[in-house]
Amino acid sequence: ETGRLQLGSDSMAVCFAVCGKWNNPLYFKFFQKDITAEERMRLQFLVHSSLDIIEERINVAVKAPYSDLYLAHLLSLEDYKAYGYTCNTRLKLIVVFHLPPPTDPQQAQMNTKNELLYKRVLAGLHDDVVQAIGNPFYTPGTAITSKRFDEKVDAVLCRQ
Amino acid sequence: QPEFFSVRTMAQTKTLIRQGDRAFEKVDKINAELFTMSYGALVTQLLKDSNGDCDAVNQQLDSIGYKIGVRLIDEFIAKSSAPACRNFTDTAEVIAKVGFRMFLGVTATVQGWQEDGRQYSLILDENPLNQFVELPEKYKGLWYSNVLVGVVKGALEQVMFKVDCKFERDALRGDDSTELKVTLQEVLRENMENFD
Repeated sequence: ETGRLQLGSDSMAVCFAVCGKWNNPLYFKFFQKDITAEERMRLQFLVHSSLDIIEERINVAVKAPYSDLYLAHLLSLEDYKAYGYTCNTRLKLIVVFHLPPPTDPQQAQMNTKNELLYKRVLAGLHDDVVQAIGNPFYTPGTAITSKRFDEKVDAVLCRQ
Repeated sequence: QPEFFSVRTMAQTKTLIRQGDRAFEKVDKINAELFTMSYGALVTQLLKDSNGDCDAVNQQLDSIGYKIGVRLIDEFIAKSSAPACRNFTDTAEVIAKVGFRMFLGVTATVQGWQEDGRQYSLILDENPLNQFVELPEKYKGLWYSNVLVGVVKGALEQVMFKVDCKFERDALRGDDSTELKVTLQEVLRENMENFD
């Protein structure tokens, strides 16, 4: 795979979720070490709400039913921002980033640059999900337990 | 004896590689994912039907491969311009460089010749059947690509070499490479008594 993307050191991915077409969770991963139960709940809530936002958006975008939809920023909760990606099989990918508000214009510029990066990151993750689904021993609709997929997610989203 | 055929076959191997490429160009192709997914579906279905009995499925894949091999050999002889194998030792490079290349798209390396020249190993660096596959723990007794074992046995039997073939290592099981061991059991003679 050419150009294996990794997040820059200024973007911190906090969690990553993959949901199927009925919003059933297939994969959920937290990247923060020592995450508290409260934060865990908060992030799950954020992801859950993001799913609703995705539903709204795809119902509206009837004009482009066959394209992969990078949905960009979905929802914010305090400093956590959820970014989403879906495709015509209604598979949904959500990454939550910890993005404190920019302290200076340079920081703001960096944030907009990152937006473009997120699109490619999510597209890359989509490819990884497709590969994991391609495993004949994987039953679609069940939890993704592939170690290879786990490693790939870590390589892209986890800086530690 | 092993040194003797390494000198003689090095030049031959280059020719065989070229023949393999040419044969690969000539044959019809299908989408790789369709092929690997069909194979994957076959293996998982066999596992379901036998309730996860890996040995039974290995056996079934072997039998399926055998049926394929006895038919594939004619296609191979017709479409490839590989020379006829004068003896068992010739079969190694021909299978590795022409046969595998033509039908799987990849070449294998021949290694592990035994002193008496009756056994060799085919090493596959790439196995297209493995694409996307991750073998779960409970099926670690399975040789996922065991159909290849049957194909080799079936094909060689049609050219009068009765062989035993089996997997020694498989990348899917976590081994560092994929290895098939081919052992000559006997050279068959045309049995005229069958034509009564």
